[in-house]
Amino acid sequence: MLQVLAACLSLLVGLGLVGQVRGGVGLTQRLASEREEDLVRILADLNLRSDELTFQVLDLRLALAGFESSSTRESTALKEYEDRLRALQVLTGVVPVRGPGIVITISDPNAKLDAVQLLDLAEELRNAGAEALAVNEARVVAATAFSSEGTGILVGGVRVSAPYLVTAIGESETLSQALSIPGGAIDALTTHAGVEVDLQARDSVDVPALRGIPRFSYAKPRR
Amino acid sequence: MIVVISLAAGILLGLWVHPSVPPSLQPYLPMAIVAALDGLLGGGRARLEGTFSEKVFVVSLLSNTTLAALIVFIGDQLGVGGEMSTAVVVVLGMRIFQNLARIRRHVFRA
Repeated sequence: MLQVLAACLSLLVGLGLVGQVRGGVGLTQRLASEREEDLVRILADLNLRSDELTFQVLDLRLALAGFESSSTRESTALKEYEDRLRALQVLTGVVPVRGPGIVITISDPNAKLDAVQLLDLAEELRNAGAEALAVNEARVVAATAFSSEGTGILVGGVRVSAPYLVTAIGESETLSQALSIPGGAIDALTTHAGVEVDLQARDSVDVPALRGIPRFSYAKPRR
Repeated sequence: MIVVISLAAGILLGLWVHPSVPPSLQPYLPMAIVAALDGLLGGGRARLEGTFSEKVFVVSLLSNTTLAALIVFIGDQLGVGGEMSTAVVVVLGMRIFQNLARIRRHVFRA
């Protein structure tokens, strides 16, 4: 008898537990059973919480806007750096380049030319706005030296020999005109016996990269 | 044993039929449930200690739940319902912890 009663009671407890856990969570039901002063307190609490959350939303919006603007700033800066890097790569000759330009073939069967004439030609091309230069396979950049060595010519430490193939990327019209003016670079070359110059404008000229990366032992960038 | 089984049966039944608590009982049922939990744990403890008696269990369960609900009801009538339920929950909570501690000692010997 008592056992049955105990069992019934436990059953009821289980039922009540589930009923309370399941049905008790309804906000409306819970509020309906609250007293007036408690309701006022709950309302005040909720208003406070809502204010806090509104402030939080504003704060986060501000932070978000800050991050967005800084991210656009950073991507603009990154793009600028990339452009600068590309320009410097072309300028220092560490990458091969391709573009419209001219190809000059200089035949020198009597070995009359030396470094000075080639340097003059390079200077003339630079003045005319050539963006990349090479003699045979030797890229010509700011630090490239032209020197005569015996019967040959060294361009940036690379031996080049006739016939010389000078490639230059730039506005081909301007480059051709700059070289062809009377008494200009081509005339100066052809005064030497046996030297013949052939100049061709092309839509696509390949200029090789510098051999090895330039190393600086003394000059360091200053911040 | 039979208590545990019928408790589990009650929970399952509750999950199955979705009992709804009558609104008039709404504020007092939680108190009764907490008191019943205390009673159940006390029963478990007594069983482990070998002093379990169905009579004591039934009487204490009934009286505790009724008393707990009654105290809250009286508190409500006096206008201190919230405080009263807090007091009841604190006392019952302490008892639940004590019972649990003793059950733990019997089960884990620690």
